[in-house]
Amino acid sequence: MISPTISDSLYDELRATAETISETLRDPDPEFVHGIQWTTSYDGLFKGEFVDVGNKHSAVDKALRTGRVLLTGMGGVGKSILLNRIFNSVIHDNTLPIIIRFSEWSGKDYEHWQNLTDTPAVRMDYLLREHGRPSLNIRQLDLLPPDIPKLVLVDGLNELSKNVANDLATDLGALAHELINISVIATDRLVRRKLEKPSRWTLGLIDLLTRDEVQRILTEEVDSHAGRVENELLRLPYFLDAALQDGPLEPTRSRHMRLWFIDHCDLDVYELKDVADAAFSAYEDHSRSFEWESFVNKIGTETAEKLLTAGAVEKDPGSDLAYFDHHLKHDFLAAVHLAQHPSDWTREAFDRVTMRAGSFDTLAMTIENMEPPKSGQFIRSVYDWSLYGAAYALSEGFQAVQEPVSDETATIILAMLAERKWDIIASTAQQARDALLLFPDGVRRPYVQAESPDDLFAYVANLSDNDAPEWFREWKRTFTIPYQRTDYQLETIRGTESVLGWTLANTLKRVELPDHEITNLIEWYQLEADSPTVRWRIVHLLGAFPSTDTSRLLIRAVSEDNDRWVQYGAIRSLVEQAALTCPSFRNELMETLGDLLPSLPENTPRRSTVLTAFERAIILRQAPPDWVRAVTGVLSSLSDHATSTDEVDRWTAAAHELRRHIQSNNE
Amino acid sequence: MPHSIRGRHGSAVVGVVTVIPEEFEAVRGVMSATTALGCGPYLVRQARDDKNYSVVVTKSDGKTNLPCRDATQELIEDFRPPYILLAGIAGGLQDQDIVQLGDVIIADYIVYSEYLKLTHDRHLRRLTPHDQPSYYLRRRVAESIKYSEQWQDYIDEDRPDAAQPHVKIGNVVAGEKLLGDPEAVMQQELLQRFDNALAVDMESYGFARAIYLARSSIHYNPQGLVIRSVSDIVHDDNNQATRDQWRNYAATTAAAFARAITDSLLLDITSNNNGAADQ
Repeated sequence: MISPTISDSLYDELRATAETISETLRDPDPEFVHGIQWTTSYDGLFKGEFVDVGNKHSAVDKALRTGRVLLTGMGGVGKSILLNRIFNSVIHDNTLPIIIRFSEWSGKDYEHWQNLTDTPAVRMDYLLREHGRPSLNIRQLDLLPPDIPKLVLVDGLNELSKNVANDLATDLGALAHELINISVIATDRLVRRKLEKPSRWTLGLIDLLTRDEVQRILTEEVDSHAGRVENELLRLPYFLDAALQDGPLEPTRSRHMRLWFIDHCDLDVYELKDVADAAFSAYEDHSRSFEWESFVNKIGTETAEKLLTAGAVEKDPGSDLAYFDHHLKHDFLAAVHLAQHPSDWTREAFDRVTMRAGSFDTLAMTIENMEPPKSGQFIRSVYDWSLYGAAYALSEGFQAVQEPVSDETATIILAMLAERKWDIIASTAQQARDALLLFPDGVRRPYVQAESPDDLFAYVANLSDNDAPEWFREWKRTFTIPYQRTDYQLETIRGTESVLGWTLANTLKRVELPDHEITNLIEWYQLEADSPTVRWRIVHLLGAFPSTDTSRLLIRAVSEDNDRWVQYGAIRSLVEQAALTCPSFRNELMETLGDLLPSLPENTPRRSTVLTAFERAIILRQAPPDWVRAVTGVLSSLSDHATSTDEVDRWTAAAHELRRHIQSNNE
Repeated sequence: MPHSIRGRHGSAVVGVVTVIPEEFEAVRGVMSATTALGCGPYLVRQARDDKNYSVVVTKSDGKTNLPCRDATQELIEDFRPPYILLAGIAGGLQDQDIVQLGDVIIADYIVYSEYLKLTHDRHLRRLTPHDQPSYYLRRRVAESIKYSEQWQDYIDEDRPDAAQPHVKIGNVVAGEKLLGDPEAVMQQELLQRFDNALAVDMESYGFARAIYLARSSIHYNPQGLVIRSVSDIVHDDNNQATRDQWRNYAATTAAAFARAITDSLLLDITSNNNGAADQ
């Protein structure tokens, strides 16, 4: 038991620091009221099924009661301001707030985090010390008086790469459990995270401002805005604030941002282009912060000074790091670059500007900067990187403009998503349903309502394409192969046209491929050394065709292919094969995996990618009767060879989750 | 004065974890914990505005170590009890001259059967850290109750035979599989490997691990104890039938002993604090 004197004096010191921080936290005037809708699950969030409404006070109440709150919301809805307000309010209620922000998170942090992968306890300590305000280590947090509530506020899981954000969500849950009287509130975009002890998390959606609230503020502050609120952007506090400063808004985020840079930073079109190029490059570390000197070298000192003077960029006084004052500005600039440089529509670039699929505002604003057909070409390039990235970007595009892409492009994305509702792997099916729910109801309805793949194929087959371009008709023929029994060209899977290639890779999983075509696919895998996307499509397709030869290829891909998406696709396909095949081959495959998976080199991206994908893939939408027994051998093997107790726990928990899932499916 | 420790839903002096429905019902009845709190699978003696409870009873979501670990962790986070008991049934591992049906086993050491894995021709040692039963609870509380027969007054279930329960202190093996087939190779290996253990269950390890992990704060030092009553002898034929016959009695016997321990602990606090928490 620690002496109360020591813990009280540490508390006094930290509280004094927190009070100083409180005075610096931005709280714009006039104050707008954040409405929050509450639910108990991600299903509730995606479907809009809420059980309660509240505000910042209810966020605090729920955090203290359950220990964990996750607040989701769009970019610009005021997540950071809400956390500032919570910080300022609880400090007067005998609660110690600690706020963690990622504006200075850099490549170095990612590197450090990677080294801490096997030590979750140390990760939180690192975060609190390096990015917490007040800064403290985890032992100090524990030393504080146990009767004083401590509230850890985490601003923006979406500011981090998907893997790091997922790690952090787990670590926050552990923190709330392990230390006394600690609660956490984290903000995020609407993306499903794997939460430990999900029943302990309360999920909230930060509402857009009501039109009445916007009207009230505009009427009080600016007489000339009396009248109906026409621009939906005003319902986002970031843009409402902009309107109050600068007058009527442009109809889209991008157009507003462009004018802002021109008016406030006095940039001409060439300077804006330079800044956009530099902002795009600044995402190379998958973080929002960047090295200032390098940035200045790209844009020139005069332009750099303009950005600093206007407050668009903030520089950390203690280092060379800088960041934009709001991520939407950085995202806009990167979007301007992407819109003008189709040569940068690559997987690597999309990984960077989305922080490895953590945040999609850049992609959405790129669509805003273009019109069909170019926006359609862009979306199809994004699709080549990630169907979900394309879906998220497009769904935001629909919120910004009425027709962000052509009907044909929208149909392709929605149909490809909808087909995944029946994926054998439960998390894939769930992710597809989640992504469909992000679209406006009028857009998504036929795809959400399709009750079977045949329903979906029939719907798409019946879509009129008389005036559609040939590339859409070709896609439609390919997509509906299982339904209309049309011919196909297997070679298309090797083509550079990503949509057709992926459509074929998915569609052919539903047909009987003759042996010679399977042999071709295996041969092509060897030949496509320079094209990881093609290899990925091939391993993806082979999941539906279990055999000694195809499984041998997949095993090779898992253990030897250098591309993480190919590794990811291969392990998923091995699980798929095991699920589809006869019990004896299933056991054979699982025995092989039981030897292979534990032998993957420790602390490598390969091991992390493959094991994470395996852990997710074994939860099937519909499992064969002997599935638990078949998979448990692999999980036991992983547990037996684990080098840490956390790893042992991980695989024990995976086995238990598998049994629980099967049981609930059987009920 | 030390700082007080509360959980998310209040505080409790004693937390009791059960697993199967018979154990839950037995403990609920013996402890007179019949009031459900709305915040989880918790029963208390009476609801209180100040949320300071003498005893909270909970039930694991399923058998085996992982659900038991989770249930114990939930109890810990919600009430931060200084004393935590796991009360229920177990399989006896010894012959009748050492362990009899209905006997209470107080674990002095928990052995996780997965410590040693047999693969092909090798034995792999896989030690994972977890708490051992509290020396304080065993020596200062359980052992004194053991020598008084008054705890048996709380047994309100008929015993299938005419004998009396005894209290034994010894090793408990925590496995991951339900044993009961004397011919099974795995069971035979277990019995050979842990020849000294008195009983086997499937939850003690999870319980002990939860308590071990709860020591992540300097302010919280929970004391845990495993209380089992023998419902069957694992190497006997008709093991399942025996368990069916003795399950309720064994569950009640374990609950009775847990009640005696709880009373003893609460008496200490009442003497010190003059009426804190519900009695």
